[in-house]
Amino acid sequence: MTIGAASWRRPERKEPALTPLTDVVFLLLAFFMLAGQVQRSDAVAVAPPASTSEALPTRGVELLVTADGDLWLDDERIAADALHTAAAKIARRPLLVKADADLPVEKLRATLATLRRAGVAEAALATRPRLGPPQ
Amino acid sequence: MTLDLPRRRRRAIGLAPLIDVVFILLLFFILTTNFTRWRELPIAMPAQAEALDPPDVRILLLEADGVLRHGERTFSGTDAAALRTFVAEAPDAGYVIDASGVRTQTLVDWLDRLKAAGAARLSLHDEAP
Repeated sequence: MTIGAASWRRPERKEPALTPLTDVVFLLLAFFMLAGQVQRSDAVAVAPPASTSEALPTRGVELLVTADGDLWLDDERIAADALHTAAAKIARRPLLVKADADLPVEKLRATLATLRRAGVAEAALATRPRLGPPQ
Repeated sequence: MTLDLPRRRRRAIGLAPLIDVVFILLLFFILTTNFTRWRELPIAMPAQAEALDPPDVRILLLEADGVLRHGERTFSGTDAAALRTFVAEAPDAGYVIDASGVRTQTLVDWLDRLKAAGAARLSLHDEAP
């Protein structure tokens, strides 16, 4: 009895196996769901300075200061001379100043001086965590 | 008359639509996920800083060369020991940084170093010169 090789095991054309692919995609999905956090992004991108500070931000009002010194209070563009009036209205709430790491410090000082004159009681600089001491 | 219909083979559940959906979810999470974890560095509002006992305040100059000065003494970023000795002389004093000509990052670096050296009351001199 002869078994023709061709009829015995025909190399069938298979679809590519989807199961391993699905496994990987599920793993990625689980990673992004668990490791990341979905949150509203800022009105403008600001790269905060790195710091060894460990304190977590308290919920409050956010003031964005871009590297050019543009101000955004609660996601709305605000002119520098309007900051005093706007800050006076929210002076009782904790304020988080998200200033860009490249912002010239004079502009930061001017902004903080305005906030102080407006009577802001509590303010903090937003930072991103840094490992190890500053260089 | 008997119809000899071909029997329908039982097929496995199609995976393709499932994968489509999972890919869409994956894309959604990749695009919306934010890995930046913000921290905050409390800054004493100068109104509070002014309430400090005036003789108990040490004003530090930070200028464009990135070196911290107090009177005649200078501190470089790499010499942590000198800064620690300096802070140990008056650990309860308020330390006020008067910065000009640097980036915010440099200022924050010095705030970190002073904190690591043991200074508890840090603030910024906020009136521009």
